[in-house]
Amino acid sequence: MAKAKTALLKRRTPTDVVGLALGHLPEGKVAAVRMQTKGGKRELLAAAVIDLPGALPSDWESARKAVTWSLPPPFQSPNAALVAATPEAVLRLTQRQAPAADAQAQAVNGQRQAVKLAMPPDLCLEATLPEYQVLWLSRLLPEGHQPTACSIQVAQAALLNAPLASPEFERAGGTAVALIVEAQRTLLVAYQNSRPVLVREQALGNETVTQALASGLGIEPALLQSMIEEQLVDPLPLLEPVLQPLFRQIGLAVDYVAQRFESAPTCGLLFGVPAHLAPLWLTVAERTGSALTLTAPAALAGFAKPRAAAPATAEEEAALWPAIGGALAVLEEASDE
Amino acid sequence: MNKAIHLNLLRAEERVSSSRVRLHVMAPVFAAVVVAGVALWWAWLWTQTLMAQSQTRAADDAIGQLQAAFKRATDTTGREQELKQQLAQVELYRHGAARYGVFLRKLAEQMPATIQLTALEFVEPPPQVIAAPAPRGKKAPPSFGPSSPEEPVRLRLSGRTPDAASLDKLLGVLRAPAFRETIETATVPKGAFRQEQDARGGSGQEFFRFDVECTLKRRVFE
Repeated sequence: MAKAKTALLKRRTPTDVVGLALGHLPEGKVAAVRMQTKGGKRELLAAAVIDLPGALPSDWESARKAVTWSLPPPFQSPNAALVAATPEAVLRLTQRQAPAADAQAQAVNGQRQAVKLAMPPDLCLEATLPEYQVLWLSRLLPEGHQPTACSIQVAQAALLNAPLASPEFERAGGTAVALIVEAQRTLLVAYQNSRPVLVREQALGNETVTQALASGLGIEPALLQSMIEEQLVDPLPLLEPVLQPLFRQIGLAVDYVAQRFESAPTCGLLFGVPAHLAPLWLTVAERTGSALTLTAPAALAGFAKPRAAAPATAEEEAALWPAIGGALAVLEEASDE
Repeated sequence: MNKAIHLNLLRAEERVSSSRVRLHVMAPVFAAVVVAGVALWWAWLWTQTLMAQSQTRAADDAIGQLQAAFKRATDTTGREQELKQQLAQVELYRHGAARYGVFLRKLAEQMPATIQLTALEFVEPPPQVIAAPAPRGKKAPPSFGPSSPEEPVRLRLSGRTPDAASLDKLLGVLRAPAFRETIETATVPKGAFRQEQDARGGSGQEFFRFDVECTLKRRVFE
């Protein structure tokens, strides 16, 4: 019975997925996108920040509290990809025996672990999340109501897929370097033929930059956005020393890919940076010799019908990327089948 | 080739369907429906069997009653045939009845005074036992009736007379037109006219004893 059910679920190839990103926004808020594949073309049907109860549990005791979600109608697709951003989530590169193509996640020492051959030569990506968090997430969306969970991913892994939604990335043939900026960290990912071949994590994110600028200017972080937008200050001299180490990593990554695969990435993509800071990031990048293109979820030209509501804040906009990445992972896997 | 990195921490057996028609709900429901269907079918078959048995018993009872009624009807028909035949025989006898009252009264009036009849006997053939038609398989009960459509009737007159002329006179009376409707022939059989002597009273007077045989009109059973 269980085998038949598993086979039945596996046969279904999701073409309509809602991506839900948890842990990126304050408790009770979840970034949600609904994506669909129709005629080989992806569509972003809806994107918003939804008020949903509960927060990712921090231990087995809190995981016992049953929470169920009911999504608003625009997000009631058959399948959901849940993307969790928690301090306990781990994504790392390992050199190990490649798992079989249909290998499932394993429970190891109270942790749920999924491994996938990702990068040559023989490097695997390994995602780990505490078992209680996986179980709590798997019970969030009740049976018999749309959607139900078809995938649980860690945010770092889902973010690796975010550039696949970018039209610039597609135009570059999938060979590019992407900076995916989050609140506390930035992922530097080099892609070769749309597959990540290099992943670096820098402890520098939007909050780090904002804090650095605010302390350098001697103002409250909350006032920074209005001051920059009104051009009352020039934050570039303060921003350059903060961002330069990161952009130097881009140069290293490009060199590595050029030497390793004999074709250097010609496209640089920037994700997750708030609109008021984005021009500063791009200027600093240009000064350090890295040409970057900013990609915002609301302007994803690759999606035929961007009927999504624009997120209210930069933080909310940034939180959409893991949701997009999570949904894309499911859609791409389905289209690959 | 799959471009996306999909590190799915959800195991396949943990996935649940969003369809309102759920396999683990529908499977028992379907099984229950099938079982209920089979049970209903068996119940229907059982009911049909009971009804068939009841109908068979009713038919057997009806057949038994009909057989008894048929036997009664057959017996009644047989009895009716028998009675009809008896009635027919009675009717035949009624047709063939010979009435001699008038004849005897006339005979008494015209009897010569010198004739003394000592016996007058209608000689009829003995009754014949004739088997009447009986129902098939039944033994015919004994029945009485005429042996032929016509039956001869004879009349024997015995008496004495003092002389032969009286006898001739009697024969003349019997052969007279007045009795022609009743008597066809009247003869004295050979040796039936003999002389005897009266021993009574010691007188020794002689007289003649005679017998006359008459052939009467035949009885016709129609």
